[in-house]
Amino acid sequence: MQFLLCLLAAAAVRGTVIDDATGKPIAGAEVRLALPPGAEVVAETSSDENGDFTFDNPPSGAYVLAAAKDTYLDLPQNSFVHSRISVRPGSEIRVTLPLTRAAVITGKVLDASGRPVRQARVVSVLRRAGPDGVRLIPSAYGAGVDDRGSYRLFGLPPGRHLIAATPAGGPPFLPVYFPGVTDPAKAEPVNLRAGEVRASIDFAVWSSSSATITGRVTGRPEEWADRGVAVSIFPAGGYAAPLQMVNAGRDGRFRFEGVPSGSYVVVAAGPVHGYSTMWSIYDAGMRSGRIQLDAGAGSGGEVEIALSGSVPLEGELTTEGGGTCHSPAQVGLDPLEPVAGPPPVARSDAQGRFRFAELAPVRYRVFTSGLKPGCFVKELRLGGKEMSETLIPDGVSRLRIILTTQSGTVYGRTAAPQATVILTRLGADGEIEPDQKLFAAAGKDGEYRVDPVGPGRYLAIAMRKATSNHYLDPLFWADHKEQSVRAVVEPGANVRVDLPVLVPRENWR
Amino acid sequence: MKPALAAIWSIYASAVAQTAGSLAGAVTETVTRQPVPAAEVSLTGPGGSKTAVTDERGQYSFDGLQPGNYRLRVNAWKAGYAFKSVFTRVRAEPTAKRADVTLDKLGVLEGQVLDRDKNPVVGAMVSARSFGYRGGRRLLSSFHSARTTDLGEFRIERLMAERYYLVVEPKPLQIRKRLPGGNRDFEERKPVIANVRTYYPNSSTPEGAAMVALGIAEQREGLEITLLRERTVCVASSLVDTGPEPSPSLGLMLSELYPNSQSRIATGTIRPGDEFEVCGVPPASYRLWSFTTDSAGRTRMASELFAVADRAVRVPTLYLKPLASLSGEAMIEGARPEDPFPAGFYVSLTPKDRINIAGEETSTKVLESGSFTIQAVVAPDEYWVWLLRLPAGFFVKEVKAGGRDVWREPLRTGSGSLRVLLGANGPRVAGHVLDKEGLPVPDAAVVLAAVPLPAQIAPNELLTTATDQDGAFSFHGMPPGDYRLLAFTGLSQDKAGDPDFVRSTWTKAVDLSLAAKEVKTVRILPVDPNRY
Repeated sequence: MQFLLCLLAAAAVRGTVIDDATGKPIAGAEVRLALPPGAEVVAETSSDENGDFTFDNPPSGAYVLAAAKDTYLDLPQNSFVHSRISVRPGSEIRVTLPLTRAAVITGKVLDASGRPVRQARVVSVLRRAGPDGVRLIPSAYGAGVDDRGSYRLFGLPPGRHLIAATPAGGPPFLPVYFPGVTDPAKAEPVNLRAGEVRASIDFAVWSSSSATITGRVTGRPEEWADRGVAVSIFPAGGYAAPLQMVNAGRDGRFRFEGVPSGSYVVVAAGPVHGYSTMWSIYDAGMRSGRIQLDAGAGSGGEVEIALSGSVPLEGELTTEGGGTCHSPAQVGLDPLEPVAGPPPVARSDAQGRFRFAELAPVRYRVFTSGLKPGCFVKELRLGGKEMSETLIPDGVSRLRIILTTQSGTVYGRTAAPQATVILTRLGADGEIEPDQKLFAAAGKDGEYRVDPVGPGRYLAIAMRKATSNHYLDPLFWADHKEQSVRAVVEPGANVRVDLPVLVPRENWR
Repeated sequence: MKPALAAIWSIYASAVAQTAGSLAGAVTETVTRQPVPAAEVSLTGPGGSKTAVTDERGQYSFDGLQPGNYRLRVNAWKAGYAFKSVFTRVRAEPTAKRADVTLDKLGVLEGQVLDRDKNPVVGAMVSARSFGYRGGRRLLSSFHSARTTDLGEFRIERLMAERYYLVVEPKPLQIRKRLPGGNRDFEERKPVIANVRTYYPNSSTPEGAAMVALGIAEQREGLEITLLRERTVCVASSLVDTGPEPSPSLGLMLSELYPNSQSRIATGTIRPGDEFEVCGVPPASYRLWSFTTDSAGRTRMASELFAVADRAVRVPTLYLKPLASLSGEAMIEGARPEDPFPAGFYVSLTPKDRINIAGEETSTKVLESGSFTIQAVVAPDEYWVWLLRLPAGFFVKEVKAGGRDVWREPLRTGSGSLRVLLGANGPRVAGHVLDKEGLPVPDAAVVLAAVPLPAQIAPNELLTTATDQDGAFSFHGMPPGDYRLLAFTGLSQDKAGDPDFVRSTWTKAVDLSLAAKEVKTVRILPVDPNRY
């Protein structure tokens, strides 16, 4: 009898995949039904020649619908809020999944004499908050330069991109930002329309003078024998990837040739286990050292980098008022200055304890991910004292991340319908926390509700066609302060925030 | 420096200059004669090895060299040039010997991948593969690849002049958790027609494919590959981790076994204990595998081999298990207890159809007692056994595990300890490759092959080496017996070691009968391989 009821109450999800610019159906798109929060795929199909698809009999529950098609941006990359559905017994749901055509940039990277610059990469660079202004991080949108000096960067979301030519394993050069400057503050964004193919985004890579930096790594333990020490050079000024990486010899000597004049941070670390595309991977017992230097024309002189031991950082996630918000969660440390190796991440155990065995003693921003839905970070404490979101590990102080299940709600009306509402959390230092964003879609009537929202201070905006190039860029928030609204959320409180629809300024930085 | 000392110093320095020579030259591109800056130049000869880097004008120099024959190797591969090795004779002269080197530009394969409806295929991996041989065992010697752009176009750069298979893998498939309680009728799932791996121009196997011969610096354009459509099925299994610190999530990989592929047909991340599946898998033999490394660096691995035909496959549950150790013993045939055991040689394993995983330790030195333990191997799995740095005069008679010959056949780990039996009365061959004028031929590939060449070849039945700057070569490590010797110019060792190639040039070979402990000296003329 029960079984029969189930059959009678069968649900269905039907929909159409369309091009959001032309409204025309898209055939052959992959469509997936996934469970939040990890978007675990439970069923997949592809759209027919009319762009239509059907999922029969999905179990009741909340899902995310995702669609993907070559040369289009994957949903839910940009319009994530339009694809959440709740299936109840017997319900038949119809959805339209609009896909946005990706944009393409092509061009050349040439040196001063017009020869192709091999071992270069063209990337869309992300700006993130840093200790001294912004840090510049090469995004996943990148393309190699071929033997003719040509590149083709495709799959780009429309919008504003900071495009740079960067070295890739070859001789070092300073990243060149469009339209041909090495000072990122003077870079001009490239604004792309959906489906646009923008040609002739060309870069000239050259430097009027170059230096040779030679040096020696000291403090290398005897037991390392022939283990490698990698030396990486980063430009001062926030570019977060090394321009070049070399190995120090057995005598500790290293050499960078053809380094453009300028200020640099040189980081040495060992013992090297292996290499990934951008970083060295290190074995246990890592020692590292760093030095800041100015490389002038001709010679940067002789430098010495002393290796010193790493420090551990231990701590725990605790949930206020009992219960557990972590099972398990990840705690990440985003280094705010150049370090050897990728940003460290630690996983909490069943008791919520986590441990970073080996950290370079630099400043990091703490972030937490993988919390259960409805859980939020309430407070960070280092060595028993309340702290802002950044720390320098001292090897002794414990990091306590206090989580809470108490939450409030932010709701209200946007000045125009169907905008995306984005809340960004403000840290104790008043700075925007890059990883703490919440989203909601406003309905046809402009009503929206973000629920739950962890206690804290927030900035809220509403806009159409928001991309991560907007909401993850600290300068975007800084340049649109007058179009954003502050909100303080207390546990259990419903906060009404009515929002104008933000129109990005023509030339925001 | 005091004047008297300075005088003595200058006398000493001039004395040095009389007994030492120097070498200098320019590295340029063959056709345009453009200088090649930042090329790595290494010099090997009587005094050992030295290295230098060319300057902006492509110039390099070495001084303080002992007179003699030198090999000069130039490497500007990253900048897009083929490796070059030249030979030069340095005399004790006041002026530097000049050795200018021209480098060939590497070639390019360019084209487009389309589906059957002539739509471009985006994000497919196109690989140029060529094969080589070592000890009669085939190995993949090229790993160049490129992904197709949004126009379906690919461009594979930095290719040596060589014959290539061009193979397209469509986008990697996704390994996913199975819907709980869903698709109970897994075995009943109908095959789905989909784009599958295609060899240029339109074959599903290398046997049906056309090889692309690429010349020096050639830019081959317009290679069009239309993906084949084939029946594909779903594969399901589950993964269990019983380790002391189970991972919350595990990476899974599906690789094809043939031809010695390290490609990942499908990848995914799941939680241990979950049922998972991957659909769109074409018929072939596969390995489904996963590994994880704990905080102490110990690796656990799970692996299952299976074949896909025309229906859905349920693969037995994968269990993550610590890597196993493999011990064994090496013995000398006919040795008395007081005879010294040869020191310093290694037993080494190479995975037969995959690359090494992190944490795998497959090589070990044999102790003076003759025993050895290889620390961390995957079991069960298939490996080739190698013996490295065997002292002259010793050779492998047999290697057995669980009573099976694992010298001609691959070793299946988990089938018992290794027993290595060495012979101590092996012969040696020392020779020179000389041209018709009697001048030494450096860099010739030399092959020593057993007569008759067995169908299943053991590594000491087909040996390859290359001549040095003096045209000299040597072989040891083989049993006494009848052999044939061949030398080729302009051919790499791993190409010369192809058993089929050796058979096809068999009649050009020199017969050698090698008695126990014999040291044979030979002189041989090289053969031009382009005539075969």
